[in-house]
Amino acid sequence: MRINKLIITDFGPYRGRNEIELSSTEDSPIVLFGGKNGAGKTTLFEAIGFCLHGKSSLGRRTARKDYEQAIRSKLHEYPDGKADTAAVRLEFEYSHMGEVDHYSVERSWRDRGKSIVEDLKVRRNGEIPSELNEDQWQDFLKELVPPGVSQLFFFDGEKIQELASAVESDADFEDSMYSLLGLDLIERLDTDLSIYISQKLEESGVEGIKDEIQELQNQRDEIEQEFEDLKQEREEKEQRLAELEDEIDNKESKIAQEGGSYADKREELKERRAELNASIEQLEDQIRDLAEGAYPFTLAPDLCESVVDRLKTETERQNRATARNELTDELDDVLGDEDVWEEMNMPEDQVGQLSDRIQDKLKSRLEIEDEDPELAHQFSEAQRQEIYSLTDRALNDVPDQLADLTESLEDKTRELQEVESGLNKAPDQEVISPLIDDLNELTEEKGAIKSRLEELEEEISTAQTRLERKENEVENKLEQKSRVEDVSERADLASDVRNAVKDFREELAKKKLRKLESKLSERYITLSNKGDFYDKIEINEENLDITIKTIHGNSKPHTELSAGERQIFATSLLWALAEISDRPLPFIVDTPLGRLDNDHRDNLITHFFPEAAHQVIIFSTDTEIDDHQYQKLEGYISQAYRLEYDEEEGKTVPSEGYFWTEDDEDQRSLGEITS
Amino acid sequence: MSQKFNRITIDSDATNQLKMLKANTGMTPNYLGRIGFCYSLNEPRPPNPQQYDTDGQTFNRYTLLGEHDTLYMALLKERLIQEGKDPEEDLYEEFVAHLNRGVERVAGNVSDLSDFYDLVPGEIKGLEAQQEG
Repeated sequence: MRINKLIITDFGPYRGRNEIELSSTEDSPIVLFGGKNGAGKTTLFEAIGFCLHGKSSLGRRTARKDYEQAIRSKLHEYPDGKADTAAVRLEFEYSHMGEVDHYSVERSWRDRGKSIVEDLKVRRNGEIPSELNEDQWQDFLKELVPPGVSQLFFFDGEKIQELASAVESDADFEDSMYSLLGLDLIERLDTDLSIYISQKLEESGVEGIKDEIQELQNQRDEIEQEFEDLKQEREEKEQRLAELEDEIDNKESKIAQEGGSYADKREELKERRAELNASIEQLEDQIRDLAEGAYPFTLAPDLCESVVDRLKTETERQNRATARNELTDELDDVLGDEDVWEEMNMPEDQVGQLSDRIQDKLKSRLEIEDEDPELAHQFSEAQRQEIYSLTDRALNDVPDQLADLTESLEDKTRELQEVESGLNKAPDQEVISPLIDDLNELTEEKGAIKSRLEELEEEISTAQTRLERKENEVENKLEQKSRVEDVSERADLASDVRNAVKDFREELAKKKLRKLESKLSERYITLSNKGDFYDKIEINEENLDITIKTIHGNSKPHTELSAGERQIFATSLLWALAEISDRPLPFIVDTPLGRLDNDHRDNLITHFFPEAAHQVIIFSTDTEIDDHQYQKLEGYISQAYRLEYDEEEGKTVPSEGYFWTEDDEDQRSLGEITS
Repeated sequence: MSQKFNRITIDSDATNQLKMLKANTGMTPNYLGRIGFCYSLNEPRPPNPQQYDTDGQTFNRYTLLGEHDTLYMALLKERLIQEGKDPEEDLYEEFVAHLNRGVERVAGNVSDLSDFYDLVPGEIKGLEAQQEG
């Protein structure tokens, strides 16, 4: 990776857009920034980190809020107020599989008061990387420049100081070493695995679950048994119901054969019979009344009429005879009266003659058959009248009445016979009632079975629901078990992995340490002012104790190094580690020489800066790299800038050239150059 | 003359037949006797008094003929008159003969009360039928 350009806008003391050329060459890998304290060196250093890693540049566990705070504090302050946006853009090239790609990465921020909105733009060869969506750009950058690794390349005096201090105190050094070797990741993995394992083991409890499953399965089996029993009972009941229905059909047809339908009518018939009997009795009474009354005379109508005729005739004759006798008596009486004759003066014999004559004449006129009555005399007038009315009734009324009564009687009798025959057809109670009793019993049983079947249906559906629920429980438990088994399996796997990781870590550590040992020896001897005296550095695999072997075969624990030596040692360590990392990243070093004595500074300037990497960007104060040292470096410098803070304007303007140039007049601000 | 007899004894067969008729019709022998008597009177051929014995039931005359005694007697006498017999001399003999014969006839034709109508001579029923028609 080679950084070609940094464009910084309203960030820190940099007002507006500041475009800084950072390109370097193989022969002149150094880009040097000079600036006094507060001029904006660290801002540029940090800007590179912010641009590439955003929040991660502040460390793995930085809170968003802290990051926003850091960004907000970097917003450039204009005389009339703070800028609300800022941006940092890096342009660099990166070779991958022999191909050189040009990237530009711009991260910009907008202060929205409550929060800072960040925008990231990544371009490869001027184009948006098509295989990535925006969310993946950050990861892409991490891949390109891993934050953990970048701390080996991007470091400041402080980092060296820390590392140097760590070298002094064993414990911290170990951590730092592992961290710098990238072994902390493995360490963390190990820790995570152990946490994972203990969590998983806690989660499990396979035995308990097995018991629970057994219990659940037992319960399920019970319910299933119950369910099966119920179903069997239902089947039995249904079968019995079918049988009953057949039996009932049989009984009914048998009863029908026995005249069952008449049985129903039986009572009706009996009632009708009683009615008919009553009617018949009544009719018979009426007939008897007639028969005991005038009826006998009806049987001899001619004779009756003869009697009536005779009576009437004789009566008539009798009446006429009576009348005649009365008349003749009256006449005799009149004729015998002398007064009648005296007035007429008729002779006495003539009177006698005339009287006889009149009497004869009258007698002849009133001549009647003077037969003796044969019947009439036997009856009084009342009796005769009775006979007339009796015979009239006998000959006229009785036949009609008797006809009606007889007809009715015959009808009723016929009906009675039908009723009786119906009753006779109606089966004998003794035959039918056992059948009907049977039928009733069967029907009762059928009803009972039907209601039991309804109950069973209910119970079956309940049992089924319970069974399904229990099966679900079992299934869930089994799933849980398999999960738990899986968990414990995974825990086992994790243990295996952990062991493997442990082995791996040990191997890796060994390998890295050996490599580090050799690189560190090389670098330290290069940078140390006792290079001739030191032979090599040994690192104990177990405790990471670092021992410096002298050419005389003596060894010196690193803890015995002086402060300055430790700084050099730390720098060597970073250098060696960076080399081991196999990442072709530029070194970016901020105020690296703070505490070093001149010898060590010379070593760094002579050996480290020009050789450290293909590109080395150095931010330095005028005391760190002074005129003398600058001249030593000059041949390796591609670009040199001076950062000067304009207190009146409140901004830093980068300009080409270092603090000391041969021709001060050549110094022009970058703004002037680029504009 | 009609008071000549107070007790009537009938034929033994007729007596049995009356018992049977009583069973069939629920009527006492005196009523049945009246019916038989009139039925016999309507037959053109006179009965033969010698044909019947006097071993049967004896009736009190009033019980037998009741309040209509006179008409029964009138009918018999009328028949005797028409037959040229002496209504006084032969009265009892003829009476018993008709009674016996009538009971016999009725017994032969009546098995229950509804048969009484069948005894009614067709001329009267015919009248009725004509009226109905």
